[in-house]
Amino acid sequence: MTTDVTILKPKRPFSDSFGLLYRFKELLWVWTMREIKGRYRQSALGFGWALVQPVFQMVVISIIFGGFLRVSSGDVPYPVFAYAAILPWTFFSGSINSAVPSILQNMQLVTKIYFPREILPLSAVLSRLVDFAVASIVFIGLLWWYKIPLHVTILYVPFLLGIQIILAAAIGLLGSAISVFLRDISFAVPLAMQLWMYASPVIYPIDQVPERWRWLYMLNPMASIIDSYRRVILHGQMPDFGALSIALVTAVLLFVVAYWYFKRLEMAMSDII
Amino acid sequence: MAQQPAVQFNNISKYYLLGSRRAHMRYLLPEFLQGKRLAPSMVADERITNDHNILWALRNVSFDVRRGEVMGLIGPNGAGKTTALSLLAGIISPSDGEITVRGRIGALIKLGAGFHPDLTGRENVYLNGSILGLPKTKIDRLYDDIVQFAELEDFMETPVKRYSSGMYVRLGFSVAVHTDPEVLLVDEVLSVGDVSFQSRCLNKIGEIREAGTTVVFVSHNMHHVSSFCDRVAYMKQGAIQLIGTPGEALAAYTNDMMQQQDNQHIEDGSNMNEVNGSGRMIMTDISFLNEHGQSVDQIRYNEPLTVRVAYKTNEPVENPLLDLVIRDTTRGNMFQATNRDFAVEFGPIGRTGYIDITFERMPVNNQVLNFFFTLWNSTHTERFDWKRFIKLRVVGKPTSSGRFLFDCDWRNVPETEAVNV
Repeated sequence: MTTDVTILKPKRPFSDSFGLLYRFKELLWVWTMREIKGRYRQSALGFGWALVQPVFQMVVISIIFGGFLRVSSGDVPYPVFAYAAILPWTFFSGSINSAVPSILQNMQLVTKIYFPREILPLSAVLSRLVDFAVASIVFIGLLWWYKIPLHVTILYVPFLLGIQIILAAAIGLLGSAISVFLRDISFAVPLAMQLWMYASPVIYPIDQVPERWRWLYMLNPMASIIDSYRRVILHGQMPDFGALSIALVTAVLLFVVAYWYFKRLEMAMSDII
Repeated sequence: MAQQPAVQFNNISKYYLLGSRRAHMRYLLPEFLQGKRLAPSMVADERITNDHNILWALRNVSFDVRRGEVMGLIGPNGAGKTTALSLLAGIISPSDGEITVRGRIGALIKLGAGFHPDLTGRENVYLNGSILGLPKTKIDRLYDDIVQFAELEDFMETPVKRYSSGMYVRLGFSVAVHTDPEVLLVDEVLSVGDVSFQSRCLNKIGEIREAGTTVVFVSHNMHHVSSFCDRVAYMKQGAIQLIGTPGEALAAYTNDMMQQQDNQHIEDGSNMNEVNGSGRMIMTDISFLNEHGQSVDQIRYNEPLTVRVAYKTNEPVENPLLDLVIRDTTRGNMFQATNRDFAVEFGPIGRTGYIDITFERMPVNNQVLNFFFTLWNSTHTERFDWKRFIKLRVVGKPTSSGRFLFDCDWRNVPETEAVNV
């Protein structure tokens, strides 16, 4: 008979975290599935909601910015231009907005049974992939409608998706842990996501940003990620690897710090509720 | 390896910072800014030990649970029993010390098995199983047994938030025992289910114990504790008072409880010098005598007891009535009668003397009894004197929990013998 020996001490070494999370990989899967099934349960439209939000946003933004304000979208029609950014942005903000409250929403579990708590925000992020996939259907329709050819560079999309998932997971970990101790975070995050959208090239192209400030602007990892989506899908260009590698390094570093910080707060969570 | 204890608690302390949001926010700061309050060394610091903003749930608790043993934890509310189980389950972490658990844990803490209220019973079984580390195929195999044991065949597609607390516990218990843990933690859950479920749970725990599973068991039901546990730890105010056989631990607990009943008495006994009535005849002293005629304030159950009421009158009194009431601390009268109820008249009473009320046996179990004495004239129209709340402790069997302990014979009559008779 094999016996697991568990040692419980005031502090658990951070290096154990990855192994423990791996042991609970099945739970990560189960919980992600439950998030997906649970989100639109009892709504008539179901997964239709994953479509409605980005599509309406695209329509409104196209009318105001593409139509009235005539924001330049280069050689592609404005709706496709906008949707190419709204699609990943909705995934990004949606995953953060559902990851941040994930621990507070599941305190009944957290106070009753142990499992690595990061599973909650991580599954919240992963579950949004389904919404992303659903919303992508519209995008494919748009590409077809506007007769934009498929480029081989579209193969870079999973890579971009990977970076943005790491970034969203990092922010989700930080936000979900801190909000247990400081509820203000739950209110601040949706606002911050809104502001962040304006600081990213979602409704305007990146070359509208004054040259002088471009370097500063590109420190925002989402700026280079969204710009890269447009390049590889709409224009058949290579991503800006310089800017993208800054985004990748930022995302990975932030993730490690966030995960470490999360694990430090983890055991105090059930203490204060 | 097999000889190593399944559970080792090594000098475990657990404290909580009470109250303010600011105290909670301190957790967010880097360690060097948190202040000494959160440092592990504080356990030894006197100033902090006495800080009002800190709640000590456990202080320096050490114990071992051997493999295959059923260990009971008893004690009053707030003694730290649930904290100890939560630490074992890994839900909270100790402030100081180290716990070693050898084997996979199954836990049932305070009515919660880790169910998500919005999910159905079925989904929760799978969720719970995967939290316990079981692959889906294994849960598939166990599923029917779990549902059947919980008797919830018709409710598995209902969200558990619509379950009654009994149903909740049934499912929780069923999952916990069927996922065959090596260390099972059970907290006070058996009190919720109905009687038939309780007995099935106890049988199941018995089965599990036979199979060599270690069980840590928190209960307020003394009967369950004494019949199931191999050893019992009696906890009080976050510390272990005693670890021993169920009998020893329960005796210590009951003894403390009675002391507490003594201290939280509703009212002090009457002052013997104070007269509460017309005073034509007064009670000057009341004492309890054991079978050897010694004055005592405590007897053992079923021991003979004599209650001696010394009196004094200034003029002769004809046929007074002595009314005796006995109450326990919480409930109403256990006994009320006068001498006339027993067809006894005292006749003319002289200046001083005493009245003895003798009980051949006192079949009371672990109670602090309050005695009330009222002296009346013969026609019950004039109260001479009244003395209240005179206390006597009766020590019973530690393993039995009723208010009374009647003498009875227990005999098994096999069929054949009955036929012969």
